[in-house]
Amino acid sequence: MPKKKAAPAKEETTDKKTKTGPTPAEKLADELDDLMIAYLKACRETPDKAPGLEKKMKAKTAQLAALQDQGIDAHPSWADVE
Amino acid sequence: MRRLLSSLRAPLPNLASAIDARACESLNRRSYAVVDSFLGETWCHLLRDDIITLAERRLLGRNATHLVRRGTTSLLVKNNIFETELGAHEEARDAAPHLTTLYNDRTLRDRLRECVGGPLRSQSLKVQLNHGRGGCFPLHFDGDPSLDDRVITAVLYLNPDWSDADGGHLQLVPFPEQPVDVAPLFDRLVLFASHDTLHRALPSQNVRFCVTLWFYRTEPGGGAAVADETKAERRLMARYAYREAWARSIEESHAPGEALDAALLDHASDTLKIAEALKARGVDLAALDAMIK
Repeated sequence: MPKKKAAPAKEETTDKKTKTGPTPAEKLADELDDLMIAYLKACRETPDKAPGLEKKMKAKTAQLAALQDQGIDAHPSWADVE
Repeated sequence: MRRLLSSLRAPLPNLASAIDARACESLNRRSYAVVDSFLGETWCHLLRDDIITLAERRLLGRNATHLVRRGTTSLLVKNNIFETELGAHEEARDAAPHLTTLYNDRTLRDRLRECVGGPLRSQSLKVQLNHGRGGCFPLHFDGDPSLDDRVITAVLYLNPDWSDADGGHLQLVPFPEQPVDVAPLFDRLVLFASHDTLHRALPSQNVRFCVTLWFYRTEPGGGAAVADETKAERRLMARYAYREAWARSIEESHAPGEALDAALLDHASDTLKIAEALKARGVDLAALDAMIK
């Protein structure tokens, strides 16, 4: 039987993901998109679950807005304008 | 289940009956018309449910424009906008039976043909789901007479309990008249002249559903529209007069990045070319600016 390849060190994997993967804001926006679909589906099929999902969505939206604000502050072209 | 039973009991209403003489007159004289209570509650909910099904099955894609600039292509993605064109998407048609019925129905097209007094031989349908969070569209005309022969755009809104605070209005700019903001209310149909009406969707803070039907003079692939110099000049004048609002709307509608920067540069360069073309035709640019203030 061929030997299994050794798993890469945890630090390496994490590092690679950080370099090539989505930014935290993009990841959060994707999660929000999924949550939106789940919410719309709940409104149609299981209305009792909708308020909970709406609450989650609001919390994530606030989180995303905070992340995007940080992004704007850090953007060099805005610093130039100021 | 309740809605499925309703749909079995309620066939698609006759869409022609909602377009009365007043709507036709408005479309012909002002280049747009707003028709409320167009389809009825049952069918609006059925169409809305179909859009949710399409979203759930991941059959809606992000709206994105391919921008080619100096040999490189970049993707200009609109924030929070998901859509599909039903005619080109068999899987979507199978998953959304009520939208497909609307797509195949000819009664609205026949009625609009009577209104505008010319041939309308084909139609297409686009479904759009805006997730809110500021999702919007920049100023644009639907199509271009040199590329397609679209005549009328019809947008049906499917948003129960919409409030003004949600935003998401359709802004029509029937140049040289002043802009008009139309709320995307449930069961409201907005009709406008595709090539001649500058318009945009303002930022929406709530999830927003709509279905757009386009009506064409010829069969699919039929070619460009008949050239009309007066209308072409008016389009250029509108584009010049609203150049600043146009640039702001591009920024509001897209994710930051290289593609957005390229789009803004293209817009600035187009504006300069338009200004030169208008000056060469003897148009007073200062007077155009004064018209929109």
